[in-house]
Amino acid sequence: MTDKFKQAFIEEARDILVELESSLLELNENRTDRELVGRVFRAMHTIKGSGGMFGFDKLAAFVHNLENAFDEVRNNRLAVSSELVNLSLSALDQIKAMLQEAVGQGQASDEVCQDLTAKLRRLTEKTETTAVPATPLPPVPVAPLAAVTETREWAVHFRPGADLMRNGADPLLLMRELRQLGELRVKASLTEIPPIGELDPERCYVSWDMVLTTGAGAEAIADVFIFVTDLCELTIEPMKEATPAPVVAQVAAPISPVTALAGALAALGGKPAIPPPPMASPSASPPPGPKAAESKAVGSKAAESKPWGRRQSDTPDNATSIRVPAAKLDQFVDLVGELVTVQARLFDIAVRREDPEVVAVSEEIERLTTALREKSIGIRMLPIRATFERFRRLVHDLARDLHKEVELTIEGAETELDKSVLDQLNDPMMHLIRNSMDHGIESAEKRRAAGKRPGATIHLSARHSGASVLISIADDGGGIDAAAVRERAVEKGLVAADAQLSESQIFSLILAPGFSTARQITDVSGRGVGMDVVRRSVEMLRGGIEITSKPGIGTTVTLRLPLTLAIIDGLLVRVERAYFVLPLATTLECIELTRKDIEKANGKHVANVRGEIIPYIRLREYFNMPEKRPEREQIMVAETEEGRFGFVVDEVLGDHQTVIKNLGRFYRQVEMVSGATILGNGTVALILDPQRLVRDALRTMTVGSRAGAREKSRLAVKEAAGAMAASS
Amino acid sequence: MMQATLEQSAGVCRVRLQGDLSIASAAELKASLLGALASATELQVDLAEATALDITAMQLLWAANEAARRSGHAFTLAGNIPEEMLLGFREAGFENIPIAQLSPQSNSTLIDSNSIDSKSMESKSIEPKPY
Repeated sequence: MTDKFKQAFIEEARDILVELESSLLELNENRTDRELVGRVFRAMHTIKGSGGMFGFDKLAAFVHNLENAFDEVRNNRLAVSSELVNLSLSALDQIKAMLQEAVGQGQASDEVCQDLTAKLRRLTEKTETTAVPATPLPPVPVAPLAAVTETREWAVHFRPGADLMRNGADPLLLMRELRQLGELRVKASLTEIPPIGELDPERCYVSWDMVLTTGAGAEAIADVFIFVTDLCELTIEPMKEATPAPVVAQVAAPISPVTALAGALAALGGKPAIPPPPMASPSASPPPGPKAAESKAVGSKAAESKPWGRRQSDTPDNATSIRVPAAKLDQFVDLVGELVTVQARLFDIAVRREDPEVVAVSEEIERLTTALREKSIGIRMLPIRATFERFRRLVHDLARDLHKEVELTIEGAETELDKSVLDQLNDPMMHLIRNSMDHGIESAEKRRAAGKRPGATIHLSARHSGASVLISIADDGGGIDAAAVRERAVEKGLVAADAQLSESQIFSLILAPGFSTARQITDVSGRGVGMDVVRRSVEMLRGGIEITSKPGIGTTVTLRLPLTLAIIDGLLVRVERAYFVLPLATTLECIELTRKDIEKANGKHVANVRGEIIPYIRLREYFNMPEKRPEREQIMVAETEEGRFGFVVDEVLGDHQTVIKNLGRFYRQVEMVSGATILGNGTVALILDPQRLVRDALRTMTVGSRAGAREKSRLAVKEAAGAMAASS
Repeated sequence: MMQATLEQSAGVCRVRLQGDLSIASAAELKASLLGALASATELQVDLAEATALDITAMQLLWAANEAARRSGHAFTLAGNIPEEMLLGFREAGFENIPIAQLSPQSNSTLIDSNSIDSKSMESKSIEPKPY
């Protein structure tokens, strides 16, 4: 049980760290943003509090120093500096390492921990000797109360929810934490404890009324309960006999309009009145006119009864979402895939039997399964935001190391992509950003000399385009020197010296293995492996890369990725009795191939399509099937990296949306097949990867001596098909 | 982990509790207390060897006390209660549990419920929501 909580904490902490990191980086840019400071502080506080709760004492102690530093910032005793931000970022890395260590991966260095702690202490100690920043930060609505030095009494009502203790929280520890703020008087209400026989031993039935005498504010008190706000009812309000209202108003954090309204009605003696303006910010001046005094009174009244329990958290969707292991989701999608297959079989049978009643039912089931499949795929969709935000840190660190000024802008972060695609997107994007930072973006001096802004921009954007998502990484750097790329490619023997290449063809040379125009290898990039890796990872995702660049203006690399890896839009084709699926995305057209055409080409495997000569691969021949070619065959023309290629098949059966099933470990080396699918009649159809098929065919079919290799892969494919058929 | 030992003798059941009384052992504690309540007319709970006590344990002890009172049985916290346990009870505001061994000085630090303005208490408590 404890392990489950620990795991939940680790996952939660990781999420918080991601947010914390982006908040810190944002704070670095807007150093006086009090709300950001508050967000950073609360995130740290949560990690510390829940860490301590689940026995991560070392981690809690470490975060404590970090939290202290930001408490100082919150109280205007310490200004946000690059030193603080960088130190905090390093501390985040340390926290990550500590979390990794907790799950048995790697080891967090104690020296780093001590070093960071010492540095943080020095930073916070400095503030005690140095004066408050010359220009005090502007007052903000959410200003914490710590600035109020006089102590006052707060009435705190705390009523744990049914699951509070089951979630690992302990009211005693929370009260102990409250005691650190000041003197606490506690009265437990035991009236709700049921007879012992009916008592759920893991549920807390006790609620508490407490009086806290402290100099801290409502915000600080609420912070104690930050980890359990969703799990309890909590009200924090000043005691009546305490300091008069104006102070209270200053103290209060945003008030929910509902409470404000309730307060207003009470103040007006239940008379229906014009609803007061929502008291979003106490610093907002009251509306002019005779109503002013009244609405002010309303404000302070409302401020006194702000409900802290179940308050809106920073991430409202958290409360309504659940965590599910990815594997469970995969199983679910898999099952839905099976259902789709069975439904197709049912439909087949219904049509064959010509039974209108069964057909009607089968159609109804089809509608439902289609909806179910769409929903199940939708569950796996996640916004790309987290992936994008992660790069803020990379850009920040690289900019510091390379002494360049770079700003990262993000667009379309809400675009959703399949989780498995997102997971594999990190590496290629990181390579591309590193490349942009290192080679694309010039130094500030160079930029100034070229009449550009010294601060460069990297723009990440995502948007939908049909069944694909386009993700682009654009920089406003120096652009790619097409001539240099060409020269280098010729030097490396990648293209002939006299080859006629379009600009986009030249740019795509960058993606070839072992290509790099960087003359010197830096830590960041230039080893000539990066772009090759990018290309391969994007291909693995069944995606493509497009590069555009203008000298002096910048480079944009666009990745075109499928929305999901679980489903493919394909064309179902037949050769002999074998079925194949060709991805629709790469298929251009379908033309007829007659014996006459073949004779015309003198037996060469080329077809003349409206004047364009297109080489083709006969699947019958490639897969070593009996040579009983029909009178008319079909060529499916597909766009591949090696140019346009045709695949000759016996018959095209039509479009087919399929759920991809993996072939399994044994057939991993069979590259030209990206998976398999089961057709309505139970037959297996292999899903072909035109790109790899062409590459393999070029390698094996043109060189006779390598026929053995071809034979081997052909056998593997046949075997795979056999195995799938047997297992279905 | 908690360990509960029931010692029966002439209508008196002494429940010896050792170790950490926490949510992890709450179900076990409940079973032990129910067993003791069913088998004896006098219940003595011995916390001398307990090392920690959380809210789940406190409310179980309180519920056992209530059950005993209702059926006219005796309920006492027997043995030498470690200072830490007493502190726990005090911190949680459990001033009403009949603990004979609570020494006078520890009692004095318990809050007097009258010191909290009962009116202000009422005004701020919100309607209990059904869970």
